[in-house]
Amino acid sequence: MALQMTRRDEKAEVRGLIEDWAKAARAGDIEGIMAVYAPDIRSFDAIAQLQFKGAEAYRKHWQACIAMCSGPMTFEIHDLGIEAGDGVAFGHYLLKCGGTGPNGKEQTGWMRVTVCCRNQGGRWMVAHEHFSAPFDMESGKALLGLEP
Amino acid sequence: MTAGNGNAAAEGEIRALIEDWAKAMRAKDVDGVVSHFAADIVTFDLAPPLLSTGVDADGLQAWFSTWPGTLGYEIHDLKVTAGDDAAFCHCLTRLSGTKVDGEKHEVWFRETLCLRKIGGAWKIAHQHESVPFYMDGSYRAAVDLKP
Repeated sequence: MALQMTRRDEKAEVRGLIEDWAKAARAGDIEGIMAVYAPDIRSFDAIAQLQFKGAEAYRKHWQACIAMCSGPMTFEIHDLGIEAGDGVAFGHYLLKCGGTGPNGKEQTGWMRVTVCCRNQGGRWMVAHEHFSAPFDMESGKALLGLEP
Repeated sequence: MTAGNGNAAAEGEIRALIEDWAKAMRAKDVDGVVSHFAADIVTFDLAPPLLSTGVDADGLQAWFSTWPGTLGYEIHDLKVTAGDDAAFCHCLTRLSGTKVDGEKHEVWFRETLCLRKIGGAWKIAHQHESVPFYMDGSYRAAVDLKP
């Protein structure tokens, strides 16, 4: 007889997945990062283009981003809220992120993240994620220095 | 019970909700828009702050007032994933119109909407709207991108 996963179990599993992803991101571990993504992931990243369609396109983008920083990166998750039910889950959090750029300077800033997951065959995968910073309408510039 | 992330009935309900919500945006109908929000909705908006919680009907009314004529709010490429009581969707939204200062605007932005079933009805519990920015040293918001 199949056991029904409780809401609390589902939330805990999704939290674990997000923490695994963050650990891989801090280490620049591309395989660890990609391991949580569904093959048909749709991503809205904070930079470059409106969207990335599919894991292969997203992998190339991640590789380019990792190459921009030398050494370990900062990915600190704050105020994580998760909702889950019957194999579908979403989470939202504030992300302090950054690293050492090509000029040797350490830069960190704050972004917002939404992560959306589905459970297929007992395994949670990220089907969609959305990273962004707000922008100032007057200057037209992204605001990465806003503190929560 | 196996994971049910192919809930067709729920998907249909949510598509109808989003159509109704977008119609209310075009009509600048504040009550119609916020009727689809959970009371504790968490919003990541195009403009600051980083995060806000709760319904801001006054803020929405004030924003509607800056668009005197027709407001274009089109949902494109909507994908919905629905379980029994949690769901998420993403789309590209085209916002267009003329501001009070006479300036015409058109911007494509990314939209993620996450929903919960509350008291038997689907409500938007989280909304994330954004444009990307350019990493060419300018940090300029990319308000000029088209899909």
